[in-house]
Amino acid sequence: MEAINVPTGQEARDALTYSEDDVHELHHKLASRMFQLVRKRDGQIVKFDLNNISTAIFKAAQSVGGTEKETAERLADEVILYLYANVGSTLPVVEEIQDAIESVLIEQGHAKTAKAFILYRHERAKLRGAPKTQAEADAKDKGKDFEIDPTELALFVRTSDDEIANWDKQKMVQAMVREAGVPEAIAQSVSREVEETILSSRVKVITVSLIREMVNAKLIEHGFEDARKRHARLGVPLYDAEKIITLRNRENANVPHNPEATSMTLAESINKQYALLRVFSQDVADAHARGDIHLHDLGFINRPYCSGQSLEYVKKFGLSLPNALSIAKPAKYPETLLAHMVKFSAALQGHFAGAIGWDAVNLFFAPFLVGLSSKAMKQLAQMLIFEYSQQSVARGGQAIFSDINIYWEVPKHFENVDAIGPGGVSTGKTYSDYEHEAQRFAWALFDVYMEGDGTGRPFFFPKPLVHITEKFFETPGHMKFLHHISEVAAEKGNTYFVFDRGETAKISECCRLSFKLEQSDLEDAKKPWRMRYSAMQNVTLNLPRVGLLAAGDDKRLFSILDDFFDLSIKAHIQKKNFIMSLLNLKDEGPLALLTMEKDGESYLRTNRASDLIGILGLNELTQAHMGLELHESEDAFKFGLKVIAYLNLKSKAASKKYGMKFVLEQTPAESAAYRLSRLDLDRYGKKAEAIVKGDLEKRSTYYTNSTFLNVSENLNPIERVRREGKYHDLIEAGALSHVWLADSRPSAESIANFVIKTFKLTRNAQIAFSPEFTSCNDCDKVTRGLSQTCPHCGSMNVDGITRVTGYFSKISGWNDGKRAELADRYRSNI
Amino acid sequence: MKVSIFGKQECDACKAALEKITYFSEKWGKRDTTAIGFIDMDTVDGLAEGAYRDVFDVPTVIFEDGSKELVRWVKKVPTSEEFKTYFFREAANEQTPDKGIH
Repeated sequence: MEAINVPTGQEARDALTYSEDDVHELHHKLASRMFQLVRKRDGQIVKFDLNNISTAIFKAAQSVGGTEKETAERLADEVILYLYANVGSTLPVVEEIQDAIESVLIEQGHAKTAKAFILYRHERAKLRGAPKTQAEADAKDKGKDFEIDPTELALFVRTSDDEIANWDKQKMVQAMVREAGVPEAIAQSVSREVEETILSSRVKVITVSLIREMVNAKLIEHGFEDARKRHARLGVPLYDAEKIITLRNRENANVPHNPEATSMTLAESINKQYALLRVFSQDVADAHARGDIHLHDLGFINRPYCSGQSLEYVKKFGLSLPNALSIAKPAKYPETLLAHMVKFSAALQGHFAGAIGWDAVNLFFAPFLVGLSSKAMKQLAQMLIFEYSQQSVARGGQAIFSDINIYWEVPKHFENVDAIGPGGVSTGKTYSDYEHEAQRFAWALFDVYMEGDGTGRPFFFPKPLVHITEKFFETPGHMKFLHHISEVAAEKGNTYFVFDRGETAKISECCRLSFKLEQSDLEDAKKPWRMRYSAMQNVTLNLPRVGLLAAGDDKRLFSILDDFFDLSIKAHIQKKNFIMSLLNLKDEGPLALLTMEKDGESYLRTNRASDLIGILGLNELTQAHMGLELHESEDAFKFGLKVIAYLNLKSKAASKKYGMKFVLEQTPAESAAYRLSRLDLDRYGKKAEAIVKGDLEKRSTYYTNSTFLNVSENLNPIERVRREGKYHDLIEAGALSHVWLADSRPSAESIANFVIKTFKLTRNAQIAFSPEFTSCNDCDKVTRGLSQTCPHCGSMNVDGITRVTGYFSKISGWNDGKRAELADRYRSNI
Repeated sequence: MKVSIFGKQECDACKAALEKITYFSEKWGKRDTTAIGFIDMDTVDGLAEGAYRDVFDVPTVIFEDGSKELVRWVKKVPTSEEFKTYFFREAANEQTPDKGIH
């Protein structure tokens, strides 16, 4: 075998060592490729020339007796490498190159040449001509060079903590490095430039927000856009803040006009900016800003969307909330239970952007109501409704957006469940044994709804959702109860009729959201306190825009739909990740309440959370795509079904792929219908004008909500409910049809018959009848219908009241788009 | 006569309904005059068609005469006795049975 010679010792070291010439050659090769362009002082971008650097160095060297041009060339290479190490591959500016020359000359031991270069640089700066600022001009007039001396100028900074501090350039550097990861050399350079601008302006006091924006402007100028975003300051212009403080917020009709609401709106503004900068990726944020999709409740980015829960949780565990000042054991009396429920709702409202729904409220109250007199029962019902409708304790001083689910029968999934009674212990009976008390309480609640508030106005909250099931029709007394709740629907409009056909069971809430119970949920029903559901977020697809962009091409339409859908999935994943990061902070985080574990799992069951894909303006999609609205042709109607079926199947596929629960929902679209229509008008002009609804001249426009048929069309109400209901099975997270009543007052029998027909002959998931009222603020009288003046006293100090999307509110709080929709609504007589 | 069977690929009962109705229509000499269709609810078109016809559960079997729905069975495979009536409706000169949902 032939031996292999392996070099050892000095021989090996020599073999691995580069000669000085090798290093120079390598550096020269690298330096030649580093930069192609350079920005001159006047902002002009010119071709980068390495020779200019070596020439400048050589001239400086010659001025102090130097003669080695090769050394100057080698040093020029080092300058480039130094520059690259400090500013990266971004476009260098002349000043940075000169700074680098100084540094390299000093570091490499050419002090004399460095000094010569600095003097040369100074002379050139002087020769460059006219003063750039008034301060420079002033200085020139006084016959001396402009020099910056912070101490002489006595510059002060107003800090974020409302304190006045001395000027310190290093604070800018530290912020850029710490917050935005800007390399220190760049941070130093940027801070020098900012300092120069500030000091030359001769201001005496400057705010940190202005300094930050100046730094940001420089970061953009130097090509550090990503760093600029990380270094951004969030806030609102003074002009906007003043409007928010003084004028009513019309984005959400449930928000009152008071100082708490103002604070909430200001906070929402910051949250929105934060969400779009930090929670969502650029493409998702841009898609929202552009109007391809609408990210709901960005102002409440730090919490999930909405939730449905069980009173059993409060009954079993009492009221023991993280960080609470006191702890309450499980209630022993109905009034205490009611207090716990309302207080828990208020706490939850601060942790969710949307509604707080409660399942089977009358049934779960029932074990506390045994032997209660009718008077006491009515009093309790009255307390419950007034507590929810009057407390301005939720975000921004709103009433709690609350829903109570009510059953006449004992739902099948609760029939054999152990009833929890006073003290949080089992009564030894099942809920089937409490049907009578549950029915009495349900009846009493609707007695209160029928009377209305102190002036006879309908209550806005809690919204009563009565479930109509097959078992409902088998339960004695159902027709009398149906008549009772239909009378309330006719008189006040409160009743929501939720249809659970076949084996379907669900918890309903919000404007139309529902959590459909799957087999595992029905298993949970054996321990009802476990039945806690939530939606993490709602992202709406701008369907009319899909139609506008498709230009009549089916293939293109579904391709664009794919793009919008994919963006919404991405948005959901990003929101979920953000919420999970907050939840992972447990007790130390802002969502501690949702992480409490009374029954072995956190209150917010993220594995059961839904991610809502909102649908808006299907009617305008077919109008843009086919030239026909949903009600105008069977082809358009069927094409609409195809679009929703497509999204339904895509949602299922995405759920499987990502292990999440994407479901379609009819978007309430209180503000989205207005916002997206305006964005499309701006972007697509005449094409959009042909499909948006409302008043184009005043720009009070809107898109038809979700899968609704055109609200202005004179359609037979049962036909509208039947046709709209064909979409509802495909929209698993909740759908609703409205019957706008205006000043007509149908009989209870007519409404009851309508409800029965809807249940038996259609697939509609939920209906509500919406009368309109005029409430006088002077004489306190309430009149049916909308009028500008009170028919009783003639006062013009009146409020119009009706449903905005899925809840009652004062029309004065509606946005212009919703007001335009109200004007268009076709009112029915049934 | 038109028979629509709304089903899904993984639904054995749905396939059984299709086979059964096809078998008996042949046995009774009605195959040539009967259009039997399987509508897959896992496809976009099938799901949309189901929604349009108020079908949500599978299997759903619908017998139609022209555009008139005669009968439908929901979440159930009808017995041959149950659907025989509709195949021999005209031959037996029977009255059209009331539209039923089973």
